[in-house]
Amino acid sequence: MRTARVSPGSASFPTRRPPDARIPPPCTGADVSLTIATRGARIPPPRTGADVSLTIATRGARIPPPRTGADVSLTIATRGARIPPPCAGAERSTDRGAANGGGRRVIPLPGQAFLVFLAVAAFSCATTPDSLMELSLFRGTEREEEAATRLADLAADTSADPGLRCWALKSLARLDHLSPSALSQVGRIVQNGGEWSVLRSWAAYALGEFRRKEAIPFYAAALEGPLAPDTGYYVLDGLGKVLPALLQDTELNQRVVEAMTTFAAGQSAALPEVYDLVNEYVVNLVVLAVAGDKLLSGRHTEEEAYVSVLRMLSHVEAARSKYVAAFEANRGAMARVFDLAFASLDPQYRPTWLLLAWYVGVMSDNRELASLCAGRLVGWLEAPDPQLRLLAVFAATRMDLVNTEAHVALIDRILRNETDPAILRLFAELSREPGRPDKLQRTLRVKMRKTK
Amino acid sequence: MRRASPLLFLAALTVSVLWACSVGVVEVQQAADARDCGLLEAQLGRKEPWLVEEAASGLGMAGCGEAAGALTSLMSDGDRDERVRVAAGVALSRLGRLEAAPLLVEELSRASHPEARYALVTALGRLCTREAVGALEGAVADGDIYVSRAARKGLARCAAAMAGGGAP
Repeated sequence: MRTARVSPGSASFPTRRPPDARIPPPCTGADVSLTIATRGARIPPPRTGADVSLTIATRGARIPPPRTGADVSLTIATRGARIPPPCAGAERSTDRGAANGGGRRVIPLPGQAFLVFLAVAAFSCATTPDSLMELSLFRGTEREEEAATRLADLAADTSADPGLRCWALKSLARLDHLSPSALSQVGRIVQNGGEWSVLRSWAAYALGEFRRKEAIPFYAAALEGPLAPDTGYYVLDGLGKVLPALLQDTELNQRVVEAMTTFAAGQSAALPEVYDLVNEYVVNLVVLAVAGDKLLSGRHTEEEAYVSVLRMLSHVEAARSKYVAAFEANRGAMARVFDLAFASLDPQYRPTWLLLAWYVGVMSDNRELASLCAGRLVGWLEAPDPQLRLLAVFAATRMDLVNTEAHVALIDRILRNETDPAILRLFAELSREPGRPDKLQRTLRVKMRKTK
Repeated sequence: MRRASPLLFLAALTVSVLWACSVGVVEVQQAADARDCGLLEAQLGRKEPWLVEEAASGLGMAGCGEAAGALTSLMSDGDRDERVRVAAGVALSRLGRLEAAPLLVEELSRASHPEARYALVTALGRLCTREAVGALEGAVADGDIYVSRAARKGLARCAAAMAGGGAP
């Protein structure tokens, strides 16, 4: 029963509405509803769900009855006002006035004046979205922390109006400082799977605005638990805001990568764009190596090893230009990744072998990357499995400019003895450009006759 | 009871005057939803920054072109809150005011908060003037991943617009 709109909406920075915006959706709920009608006015019924609903009508006004759900509903009308009887549902409803010219239920003048005074006083003292936003104007660390604490207290108060809790978070997000306890309160809203998703979105948004490292565990916990897709978006968005702090702590980074993986695994719909953006930064060789190490040192299934190898190699492949550009700095971490990938191979589990052979092949045209795995390829060139042999040959041929051990083995020992026509045919067709030697000819250094 | 009516009316009048003077952020949002350009523009002179932001934003979203002058004044007012100036600039970009680009670029050059830079870069990506493209190229190297991405997207958008014969 809360229809009065107190949405945090678009203020803050207004471009942040979908599709190019990152402002959470509006909240609903109000705690005060005031309606005043004069002669001839026909006004809509008081907003539903308001905690206090006050309607004042003068002669000739026509007011529908207050809808159900208000905690307190007060209607005052003077002669000529037409007010149907109130609907059921208000916890307390007081209708007074000279309705329909009858004046059947009349309260004395002092009483009426007192009621009006009370209503005005209540209205002016009530917590409203604007009174909450006013707190965001506080400046200075101490005053801002004080404001943040008040706002965080309201946001965390589950008995308070949800709309106002949203506004509290919105106001909080505009401050520059907040105390650790306030941060924890907001963080707990983010990670509370039982909390209203819109509120969680606002909490995630507000938490990110402070760009504090302490926010990261709350985001990670939120990603690991139940999370509506929309809220997930704001959690990931928040992680993007704290990225500089996150990237300086390998342990936290590791946890976030794992939490993001858990989140992604639980999504049936497409992941938001921000997922890939954040993922691009948080996933790095060190994190992948630590994850792979952890997996392989414990009990794991073949499928888990396969996924681990896939993640490591697909990341290296996607970001290889970045890593190769700073190869000396990344050599150790990259070698570790390849070591782990090869170490994870289970002789009985063929998919991982083929996956690894494929990625090695794809990356082998790069001299630096090829140097990290060429030696291991030699054994595969003589593998009895024709598919694995084919992939190994594919990888070795891509090393033709590198002249690695694998390439030498390919020419000296393998190709001369290869009898499988499928491999030879596919191999020959791997690269065929008009007027140029095919892959097989290039590998074997066949000299082309110049045609006149 | 007859004597009660004038007093009640007076009280109601007082309350209604108070109420009218205190159009709050919720009412401004409702005005934005209803595309009530007049009410929104009237709020630009208010002192509460969140209200002015909301009103400026609403004017841009509602396509209130007649408010461009007021928004430009707001954006040029150095005494105003940064968020207010940014909101006005974004609204001008939504209204397609190419002349706002130099102001947006200037604001971007002094914006310290990543949210402000994000909003400004997104706004410049809509305008695609020569100054806007120059600023977007600089923003690609921004340390905030969202600002950097918004700049890349803006440049792509401007390139597409130029290829299609649009601005600049």
